[in-house]
Amino acid sequence: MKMIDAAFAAITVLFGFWISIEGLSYGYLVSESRPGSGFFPFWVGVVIAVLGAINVFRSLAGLEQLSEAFEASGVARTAGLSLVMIVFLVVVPWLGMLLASGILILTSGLIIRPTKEFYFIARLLCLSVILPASAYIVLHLILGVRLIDGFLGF
Amino acid sequence: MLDSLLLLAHGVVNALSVELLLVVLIGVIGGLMVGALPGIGPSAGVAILMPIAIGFNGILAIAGLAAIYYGAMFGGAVTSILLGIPGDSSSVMTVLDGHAMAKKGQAGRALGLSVSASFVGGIIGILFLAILSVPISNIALEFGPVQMTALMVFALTLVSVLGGRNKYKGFLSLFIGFWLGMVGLDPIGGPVRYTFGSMHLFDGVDFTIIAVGLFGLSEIFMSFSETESERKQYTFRSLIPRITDMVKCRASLLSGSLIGSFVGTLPGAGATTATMLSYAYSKRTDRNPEEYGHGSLHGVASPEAANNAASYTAMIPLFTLGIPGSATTAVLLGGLIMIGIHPGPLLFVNHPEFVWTVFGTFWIGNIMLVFLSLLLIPFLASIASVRPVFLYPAVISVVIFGVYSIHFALFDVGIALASGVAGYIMLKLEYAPVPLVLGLVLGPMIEQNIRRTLIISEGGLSTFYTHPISLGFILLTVIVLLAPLGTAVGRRIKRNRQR
Repeated sequence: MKMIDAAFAAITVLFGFWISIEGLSYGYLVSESRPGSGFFPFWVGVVIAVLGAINVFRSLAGLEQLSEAFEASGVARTAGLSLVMIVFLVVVPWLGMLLASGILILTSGLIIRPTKEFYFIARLLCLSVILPASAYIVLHLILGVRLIDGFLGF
Repeated sequence: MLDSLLLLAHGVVNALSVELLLVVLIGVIGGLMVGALPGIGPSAGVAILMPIAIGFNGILAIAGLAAIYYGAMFGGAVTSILLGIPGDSSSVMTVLDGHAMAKKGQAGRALGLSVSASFVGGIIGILFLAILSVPISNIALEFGPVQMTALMVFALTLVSVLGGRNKYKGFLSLFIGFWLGMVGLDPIGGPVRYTFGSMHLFDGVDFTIIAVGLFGLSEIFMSFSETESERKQYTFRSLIPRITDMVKCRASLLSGSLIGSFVGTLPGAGATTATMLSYAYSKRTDRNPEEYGHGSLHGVASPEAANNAASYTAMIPLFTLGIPGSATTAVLLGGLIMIGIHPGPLLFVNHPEFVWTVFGTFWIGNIMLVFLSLLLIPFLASIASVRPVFLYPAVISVVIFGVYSIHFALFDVGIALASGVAGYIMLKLEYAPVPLVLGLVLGPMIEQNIRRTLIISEGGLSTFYTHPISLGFILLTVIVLLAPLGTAVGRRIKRNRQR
């Protein structure tokens, strides 16, 4: 965890530098007394870089004791769920929001608890029908929110 | 003052007609539902339902729309507490302790406390609105860019309270929030900043999207580290709120209500700022600040009282000056104009019956919300006992549809997901997420007000010391920053004396 913490802090240092350099391209000062659009981004970037450097030092010097750790199972499920949501974003224009969200609910449940139990999958299937249907009623019919339709027309 | 109270009482009597009661009831129910849905905040709820409301006569329309507004403030706490997803930006602070209480099997207690806090905040906010509208609006008018900058800098000193164990990481989160607030079109200079060429980021990053991902999705990711045995079991008793909690939190209720009432009147500050200031003040002045973030009653009471107080006092500049202080009051202003009422200094003179009857409906609506919410609490609290394997997919679908409904863009869902992953990493590495949202809210205000101040003063900083209100906030900031040092020195002197 110490190395991950230090690496993340190092990334924030680079991030801070990037913000500052990019900020200068927006104009640091308009005139002697008028800060430009890049004035605040520059200084925000500088502060982020400095604080990041302090955190790198604290992490490597062992001054930082973290209580949590990245467990393999937690990271795997997080990655799996994130991937499923990314796939959802990609397929929505084709499948439509309702169908895609139903599939998302089903796969999310199976990622959280991988199992082949019939009753569990049946309940998950019910949920993957009820929730999109509820969203359609509340958002589309009652509140007038236009949802993305797929090739099936919904 | 007595005259105003009598007029308010008269307004309450006028508001007891069947039509008005029905409209207010429909409004608060609608507002509760809208507030509970992440993404669709009070402003969207009021705007969506305005075409229906305007079909009624003047008082009915405004009473209904306002009921949606303060109903939504109540409703935002529901998903914050039960699911850890802020229903709208002003209920972010309630997530910290409200959801922690729900995870400990005290969802009913948390919801009950939020209802009572909202009620107390609402009462104090309405009294401010009725009695102190004109003097407060005069004070609010004194708040220009200089004063707002000083107030925001003072608000930032509180981040040391919200920043978690590692202050450096807390401030880093804060400045990342500042950066996020700079994404999009610069309202003063004009160029588009940090959008990577995407039109979706032209208007910047919506606070609600970041908050939903940072608190809602990251909470789900973090829970994968818990085992089944770590999750609390729920009993029927845990679904019921406790009246004694309201008594225990009376100081937080009062401070939250007063802070919310005052900050809510400042155009641009809003309920979100009020809840953050209130929570931070409550934590800073509490004897047991280490309990905050882990299920402290005061951590729920204070921001919820501030939230509801601010929702009423945000209407002070609207009614007295015709200046909408927030997106929701801007929509309400549109509604008032559509029914032929022009808010401003003469509103109380030209339409007293209208104004005091509307205020009367606020009083009645506040009471209705208490009864409705208390009836719903056992049912709502039982949602927290649903197994995570079914609850989390439901939460994800609520997040997706809620976030999508903000701008009708899947891009926003992607932002929420990225925020969720970032929040997961931040929580594991103990970077507090609250300063990030504080920076996102306050950063744009600070930047714009400082730049406006420097333009007006032609680069001179002495303007911060020559304005009394600004000077007052700067002195408060110095006191807050030096207080821990003073306390430490005092303890050392005391220890030396004891030796």
